[in-house]
Amino acid sequence: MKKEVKLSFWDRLYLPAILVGMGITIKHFFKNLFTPPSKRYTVEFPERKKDVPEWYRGLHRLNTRDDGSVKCVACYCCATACPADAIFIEAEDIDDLDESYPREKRPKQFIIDLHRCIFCGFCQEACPEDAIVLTNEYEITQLSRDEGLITMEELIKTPKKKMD
Amino acid sequence: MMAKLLAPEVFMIVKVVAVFIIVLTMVAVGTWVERRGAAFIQDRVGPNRVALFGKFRIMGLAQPVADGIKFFFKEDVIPANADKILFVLAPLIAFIPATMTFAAIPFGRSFDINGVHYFLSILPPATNIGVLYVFAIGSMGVYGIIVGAWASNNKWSILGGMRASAQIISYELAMTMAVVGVVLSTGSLRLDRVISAQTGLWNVVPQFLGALVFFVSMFAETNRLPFDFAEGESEIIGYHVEYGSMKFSMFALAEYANMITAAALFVTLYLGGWHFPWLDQWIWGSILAFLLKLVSILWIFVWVRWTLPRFRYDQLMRLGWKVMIPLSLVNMIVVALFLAYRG
Amino acid sequence: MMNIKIDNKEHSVEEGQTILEVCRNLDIEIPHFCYHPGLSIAGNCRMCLVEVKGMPKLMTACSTMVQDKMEIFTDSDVVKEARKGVLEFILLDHPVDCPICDKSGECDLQNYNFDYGIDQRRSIFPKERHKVEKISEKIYKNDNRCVLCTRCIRFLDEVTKTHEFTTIERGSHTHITCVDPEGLDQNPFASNIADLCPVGALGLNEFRFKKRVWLTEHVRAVCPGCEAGCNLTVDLHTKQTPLDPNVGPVVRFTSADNYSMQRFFICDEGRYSYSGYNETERRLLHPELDGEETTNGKAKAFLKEALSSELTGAVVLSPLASVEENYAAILLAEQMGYDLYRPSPFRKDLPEPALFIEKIKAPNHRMMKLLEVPKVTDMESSDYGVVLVLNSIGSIRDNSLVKILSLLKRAKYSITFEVERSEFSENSKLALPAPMFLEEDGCFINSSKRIQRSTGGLGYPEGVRPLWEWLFGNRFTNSESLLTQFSNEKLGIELSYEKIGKEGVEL
Repeated sequence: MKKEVKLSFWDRLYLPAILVGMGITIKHFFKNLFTPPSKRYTVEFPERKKDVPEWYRGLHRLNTRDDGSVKCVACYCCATACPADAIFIEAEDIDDLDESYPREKRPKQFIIDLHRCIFCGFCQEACPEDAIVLTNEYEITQLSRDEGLITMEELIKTPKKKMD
Repeated sequence: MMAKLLAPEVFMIVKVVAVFIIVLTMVAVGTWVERRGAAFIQDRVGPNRVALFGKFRIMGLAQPVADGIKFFFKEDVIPANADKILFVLAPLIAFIPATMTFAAIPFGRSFDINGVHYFLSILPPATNIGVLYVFAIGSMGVYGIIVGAWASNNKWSILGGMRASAQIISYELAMTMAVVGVVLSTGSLRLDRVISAQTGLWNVVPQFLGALVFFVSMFAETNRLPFDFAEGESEIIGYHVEYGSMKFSMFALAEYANMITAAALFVTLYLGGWHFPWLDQWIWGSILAFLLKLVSILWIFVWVRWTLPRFRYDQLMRLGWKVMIPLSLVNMIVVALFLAYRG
Repeated sequence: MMNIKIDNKEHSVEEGQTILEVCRNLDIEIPHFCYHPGLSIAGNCRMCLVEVKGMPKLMTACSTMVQDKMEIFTDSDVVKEARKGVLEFILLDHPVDCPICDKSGECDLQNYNFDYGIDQRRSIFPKERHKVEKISEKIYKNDNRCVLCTRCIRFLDEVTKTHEFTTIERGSHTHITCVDPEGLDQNPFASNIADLCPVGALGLNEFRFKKRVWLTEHVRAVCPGCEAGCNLTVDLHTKQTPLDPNVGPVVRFTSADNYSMQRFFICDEGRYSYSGYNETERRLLHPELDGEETTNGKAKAFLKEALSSELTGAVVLSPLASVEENYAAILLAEQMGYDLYRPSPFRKDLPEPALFIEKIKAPNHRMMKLLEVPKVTDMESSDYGVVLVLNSIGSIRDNSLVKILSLLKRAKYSITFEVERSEFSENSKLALPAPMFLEEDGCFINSSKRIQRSTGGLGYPEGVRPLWEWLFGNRFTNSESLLTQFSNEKLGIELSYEKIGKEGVEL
């Protein structure tokens, strides 16, 4: 669609518009100049950390029971739900019949490929045991590809959410 | 000591060294101001991390130093199919005229001690060609760009170079015509005369049109936004795509040096040079006044860059030929008629 | 024929069927646990209750015969309520540990509870707990999950007649127990009880915690283990994730129901043969010329040279390969005037009980017999210039093997078309890689002259092409066209994959 706009003489001169624009930019300049760094929009990361909301989806955690064993029963629900094929589980047989709950199965290996993970949280949704959760931990860096494959031992150690 | 310093030869050397150091320092600080200013205008933080000895951040003022060191130690690549001699020469051709131009600018009031006349510009004001010298040397800068673009043997850089040279040549016409008004009213090409003629009333008031044309052309001449067709760093790729390390840095330095010279010229021609009420009664005061004006104009360069978007190429050419040149002609005729009427 | 009404729709059905069978044929789902087409009717799970007009109570669909002018409601409110109640009773003592249960994904109880069940358990009493037992080398038992349908007991009583299982105790303490673990170990059909179990109470040790059912793709195939031609459901896991160790795409074989053959079970030998199809070490994936890997172009050039040499030729078919592959070889022999031979298949003594297991361990031996191909051992002279030998996974009799080897060694152009490297390819100039039975669609004719189709779920591996493409190029577009031509010319009937369908066609 072509829209005809009739410009007045002052509009065609552009100078007033330029001056208004420059007024806006200098306003921002002075506003930022006199704002202390702690109150600017930019959070200067290593020194200051952003408080993430409760629903933030960060690094995974495998919850444990009171006795320290992993809650995960290796049901593959998370691996099935995972759209990025980032979860690999190998199941193992255990012979531990509890009065309250029978435990037959546990993960022998539980690996999450952080390079593939898209942090969608589907695994958390799919988990029938509340074993896997995404915490608020967002400082996830590795020095090599192999370190990005995090195992069960590391997943247990992920700090819990602040709210929990 | 003072006497020795005031020996004409020594005084000359002191002036040259001081001017060179100050201009280069301003170039370095200019890049920092540009980046921090841009950041604040855009609600960002800008470079503030580089710290001296790893401790003192000083608001990122060490950033230009770090950049300089980085540029020095970067691999110096010359493309296989480039014209090697011209490729190396081009940054120098761009940089040298940019710094040379400043020689003619009087940056403080001249004074007499013991019957000897001392003047505060590198070229003696009696050279009588001040304005012409500035334009003659200043126009050499375009060779750096076009030679660099051609020597790179790259179609994008040659296109960038063509754009830049066409633009610079177009706006030089308007710029020179605008200056004719000043030269007419002064009656001399000597820059010290131009300044003394502005005592009491700066040229910017009677020749507002000329000042405006000069001011706008200045942006085009120095390839600054909204006319940065030569470089077009954010998208269209300019004449120095093939350049890296210190050679690239030379082009950047030349741009800033050009900016300083152009700003100094504007101050001299239209803002009364070192004139300033009350302040210019002392020599140091006059230098300070000049520097203050210079820095303000430089800030406007930065300010405008982060306010206005780039023109389209046809808009640029239309503005140059259809608006700026007629306006400068109008200015010239008005000044000429006024002078003829007054006799 | 009589007319009945099911859910207010008129149907005309044959006499002598139960409501459940009628509904199954009409694709109306009636949930059931204890009913199985291969077993006697027990009627103890009460899941198949339907409303019959005129009857004071709901009737079990599995044990009620249809009668003329019967009006049946399978989806009325009463029926829904009854199903809900039955499921609630069953789940009273069911652990609902689907996440760790290997049956979940193909579990009847899980499916029915989703469709008809309740969300919340109302009982507050603790559930009875039993330990998981490995009752034999093949089977484990988890009594917690058992719904006491007694399919396993009936199978062992009625089909194999070995009576290893029985129920003990009474009421809510009732559970199934194995009274003869050694007998279960030796029973050649024991693993069927894992398939039969509608829940996860009985399972195979081999499959325990190995793969979740929903991750696999199910393909219907014909067991190549013997001449019986039992139908298989093959679970394939073709989608390998990057972290998964590649254990092979074939996950397990389970039985597939074949109502026309009245066969619902498979032998354990066939069931556990799946791992052989994952072996890649001996697999031939590229054509080999004189024992060296070569390109398809060079192999084709050698073939062309052999076929245009105008020497006498012999083609040895394979009872292990499908109808289509064999027919391609037959077509070549007819075209070139080569002699056709067949090897004698490997034979094995039958186990006890044998049921439907056949002695002849080749899936397509009946085709050779139908076409009256002479045995390779009856061959008079073995001097041929061109010899083409077909072979597949499996074995043939030793005397045939020796004869074929001598054929290959004497021939100027000896060509083998086989899946895995064997003595044949070692002794022939050109070895062509063949697709195995799960990699291409193929038909097999079983001992009761039923032609059945096996689906190729895996598709051809890279570099492997079917024989008809090597021999005839683009003359055939798919294996179905070969089957159609075969049936027209050799059997005198028109067949297609659609006609053969799931359950095959009796010739």
